[in-house]
Amino acid sequence: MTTPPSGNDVETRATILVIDDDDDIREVLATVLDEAGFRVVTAANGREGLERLREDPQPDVILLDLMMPEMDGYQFRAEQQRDPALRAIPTLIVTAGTVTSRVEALGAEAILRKPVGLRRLVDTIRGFC
Amino acid sequence: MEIQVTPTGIPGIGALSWGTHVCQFYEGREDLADYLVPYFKTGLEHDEYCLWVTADPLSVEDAQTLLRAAMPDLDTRAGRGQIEFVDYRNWYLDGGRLDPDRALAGWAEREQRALQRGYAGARVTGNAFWLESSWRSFADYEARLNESLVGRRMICLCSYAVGRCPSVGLLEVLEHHDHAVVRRRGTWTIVESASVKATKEELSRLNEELERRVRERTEELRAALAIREQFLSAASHELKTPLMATQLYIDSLVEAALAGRLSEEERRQRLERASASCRRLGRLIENLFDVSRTGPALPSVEREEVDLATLAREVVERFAAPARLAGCELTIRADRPVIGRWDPMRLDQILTNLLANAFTHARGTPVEVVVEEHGDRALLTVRDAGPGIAPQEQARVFEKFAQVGAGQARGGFGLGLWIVRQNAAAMGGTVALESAPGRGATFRVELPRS
Repeated sequence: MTTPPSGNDVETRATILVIDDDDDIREVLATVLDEAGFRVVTAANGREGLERLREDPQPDVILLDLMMPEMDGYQFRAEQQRDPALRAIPTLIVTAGTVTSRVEALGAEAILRKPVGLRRLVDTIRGFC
Repeated sequence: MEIQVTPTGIPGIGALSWGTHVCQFYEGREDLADYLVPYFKTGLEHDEYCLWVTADPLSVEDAQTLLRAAMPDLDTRAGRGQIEFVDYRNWYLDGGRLDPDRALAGWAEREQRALQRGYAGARVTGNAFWLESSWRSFADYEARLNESLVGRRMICLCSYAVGRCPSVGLLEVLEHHDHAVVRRRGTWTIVESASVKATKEELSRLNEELERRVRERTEELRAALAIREQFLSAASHELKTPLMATQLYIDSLVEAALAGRLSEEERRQRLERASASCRRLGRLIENLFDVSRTGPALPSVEREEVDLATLAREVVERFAAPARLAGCELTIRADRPVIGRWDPMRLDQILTNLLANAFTHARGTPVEVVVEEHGDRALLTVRDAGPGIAPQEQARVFEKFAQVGAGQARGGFGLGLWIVRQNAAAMGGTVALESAPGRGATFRVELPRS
């Protein structure tokens, strides 16, 4: 890592919410982000993501996939922005699709295109927590 | 086929293709001169041999005088034989009687001679002004002339005086020409024969048919393009996902190696997962190329003697690690050899796709493979205990891109089961699904053994 983890104490670790319908992606992100010093919670779609957001502690950063069943990333983002308590949480879009104007209009803090490497991912997350 | 035409020089007619027979109706001497002079002037200028068979109201001398006024070098051309003027009596008649054979042989002979002498073709005219009572036999002659012109490098313009044609004769004249041109009081009218009209109608029908087919084909192409767009977008999404998982596992191994962290067991697990993601990627690419290679047709099959039981055991062995990752207990029941003539590559793909499907949709449940023999048929069954498939969705799972656009993509293009069905069909077999929500899914592939 280019910088050391923000802290080893569980209480002080930043929490990352990973919202992605792909089991492999959730699993690998949970593993590698934990190792990079973050606390990770996961959700398999937008609806689960909203449930996780309302739990304690509130995540510090959201990694959001766009193409998902039940509630996709666009719907999730709309719900998130409608709620003043959730609006300010930095959201990083991680997508395998093309970055269209519709994606840009989501107003995310960053847009990462799959496949994204570990360093780039961790550096980007650190920029927001 | 290229159709060769030659300009007539007559405004009402334009260009004609070789072998065309046109009749021309005129009211008076001026009308007659009005089109025959430009007709022959154009022919001479285009290096054609010309033959003007004259009749009242124009004599040979009248014809020469009129054409000389338009064509000052007429006498030079006549001198070297490019143009001849013949009185009708010396052309159509023998002893005062119509001799069709002689006239027909004359036209043919002139065309042959013209071509032998290097002219571009032959351009001729005749006149029926002199006809009194022999309309019937002249109409027969015109019919024969019309037929004899087919394939010849000759155009033939027959002139008829409007006032002198009996109405029945007029109809017959029209029938035996490709076109009729009427020059009355300075204006041109074109009358087409029934066969020309029929040909034109046929052409117009064919044209409409062609346009309809072009429209249909365009529509098909547009639909194919839309599917391709959809497919590419799904392909990009589906291929990048396992690629990203692979990359993150490998990145984490590199980091760990640099920092000297991770136990041997942790390293093994990550390598196994990276490897599984690579396999998933490989399978996706395999399916993708299979579809782009075969298109809508059934895939080709290379048959050889295969033991389905052995082949299935090998595939199941290969799937041990993916099964563990998916939390599926994978078992196989294939006690006795099941021999048949199949394509082992296609069989492998069938079982691989059915297992991949089970591990994706029925994570954490037992998956069983069974190989049996039922008389002259082999039966390959893959059974999972996953969430099952609702009856209304069961037919759709075998469709191409079943997952595309459904917003339900779970690690595939929705091609796996479609390929299973295509491969089974290519070997004369079928695949059936038995499932209910909450009751797991059973896929049965039935294949004839020979």
